[in-house]
Amino acid sequence: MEELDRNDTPDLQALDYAADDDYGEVSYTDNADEPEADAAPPVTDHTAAPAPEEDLPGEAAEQDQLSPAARPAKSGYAFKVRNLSKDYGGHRVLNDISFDIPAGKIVGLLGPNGCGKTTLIKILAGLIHDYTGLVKVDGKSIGVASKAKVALLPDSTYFPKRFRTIDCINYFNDFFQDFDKVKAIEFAADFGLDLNQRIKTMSKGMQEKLQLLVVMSRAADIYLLDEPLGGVDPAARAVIMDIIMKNYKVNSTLLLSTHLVNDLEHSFDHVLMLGKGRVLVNTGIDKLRATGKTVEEIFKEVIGDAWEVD
Amino acid sequence: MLGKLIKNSFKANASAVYPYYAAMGIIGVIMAILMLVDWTKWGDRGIGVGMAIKVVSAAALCITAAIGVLLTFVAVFGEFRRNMYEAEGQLTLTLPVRSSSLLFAKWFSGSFWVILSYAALCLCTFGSMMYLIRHSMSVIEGDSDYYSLYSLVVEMVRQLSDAAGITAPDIHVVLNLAGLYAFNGGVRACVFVLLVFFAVTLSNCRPFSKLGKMGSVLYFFGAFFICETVSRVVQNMAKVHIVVSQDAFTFVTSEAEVQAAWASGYGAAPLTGVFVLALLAVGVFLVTVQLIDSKVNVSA
Repeated sequence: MEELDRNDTPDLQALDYAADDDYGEVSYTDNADEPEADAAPPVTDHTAAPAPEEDLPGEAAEQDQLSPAARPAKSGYAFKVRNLSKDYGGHRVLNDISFDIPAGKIVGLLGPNGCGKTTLIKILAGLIHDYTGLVKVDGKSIGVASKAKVALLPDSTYFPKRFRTIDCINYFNDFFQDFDKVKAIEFAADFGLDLNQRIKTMSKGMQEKLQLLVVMSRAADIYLLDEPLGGVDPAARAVIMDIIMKNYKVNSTLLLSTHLVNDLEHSFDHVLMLGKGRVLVNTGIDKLRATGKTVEEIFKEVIGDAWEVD
Repeated sequence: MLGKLIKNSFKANASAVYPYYAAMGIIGVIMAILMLVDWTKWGDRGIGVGMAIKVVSAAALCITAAIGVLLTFVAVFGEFRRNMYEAEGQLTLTLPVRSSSLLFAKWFSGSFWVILSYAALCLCTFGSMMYLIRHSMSVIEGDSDYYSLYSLVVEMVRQLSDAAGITAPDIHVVLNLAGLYAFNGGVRACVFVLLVFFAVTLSNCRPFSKLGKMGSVLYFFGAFFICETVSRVVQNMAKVHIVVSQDAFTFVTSEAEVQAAWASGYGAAPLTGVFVLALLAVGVFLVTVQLIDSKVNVSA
């Protein structure tokens, strides 16, 4: 099975993803299982640029975090996964997967429904424990230290119904040292959220906004965003992506799972594609683009018939 | 961080149990008003009606308090499941805090509310009983101050002691003994709460999650049975008691010494069982932390 070398010119036609089994072996990956995997990753092509100290909402609009060139390179791996497997009642969702994700990237976690994206995010966040394999987040095993660095935006709402907006903000302020309360309150005002309104009186959309604002008010090293655009209309998608891209901490890693490949591929600088419990693609966006195809085209090509629900 | 966790757990439990305490408060106020009414103004019939209303009010207060204990249990454990292993768990279990701190905060807070509800039940039952007895005696004797509360308690202790064939203990001994039994009950309530947290946690670990919420009930009764059995067996093997006199606590290790203490107007309370339960609680706590750290899945 051929692994893509960083210096190779990618050519999807030459890739081995249509091997004997459903997807063949992991066929388009960087780093994982290589002897030098513990070493720092190669220097990325992102040129360093000084990061602002704070990303207050008002200032955020003037920043251009969308551009990889605006973000400084960061050494080390955000995620290091080895031989990770996870079953649900006999059904294997993640099947002995291994990969590394360099730190400081915006990573698109792509794959069809049921391919294990949410499971992987939950494992990285420390919500699922009964898996086999090795998982390291920012060089640390899953635990208190890794959780302090990770900001999770799950695909469902998680605040207690009795909470008011201000309670949610105070709760984050109590437990996360990287939380910016002033920014969160300004965010809430921008979103038109009443600080004294209770969660139980909010619509699902308002609750999602609130969750997004508290998560993006953290200056975390790693953001895990599970389907932040799921079930959202195109206009709202643009607003949400704008908020995410303008407010995440510069130099942090952003792992974003989505089905909306076409809408978001311009934001990614690294792609991790899962299918039927395996890593199908794990590489930088520049290498994928060098094939002359869009991420969505590659996605359809690699995933094949699994584009439909498993 | 532990302080913040405890603060948040208290708030969460308080929001779940306050309707029951509000109901108890309202019934208590109604009862107090009915007690303050001078029913004798309406003659013999008024006295009869007043007595009936007071009895019904007292019974209602006791029943409300008993339901309050049950509902407090349900609220505390429901809050634990919801906050740890359902949607809210995605927030709780991603906090940068140790699982032991998380569990301790919820245990501390849950035990507080359960003990408070139990204390409220004891207070309501004892208070209502004392009030009704005193009121009945006063009506019979035609003197509203015929019995003070103190003399009523002393009289009850004397009659109970006569019935048990022991020397009536001094009131200070009774109070010390009541304190000891309250401590014993408090420890048991804490262990009870922890066993339910353990059972709920176990029911969120594979393969124990197959039975769902029903599983947590079964695991609780299993764990409770084991702990109680071990506690009783060890208590029977090592009969350590605390003997309570007016001004001292002494340890004895034989049944004969316990009988002698009761016969001398002292009291005695078993110690081994509660000590074993406390030790088992430490073990259950550590196992639960281990389960949270290595086996639990958040089901949201």
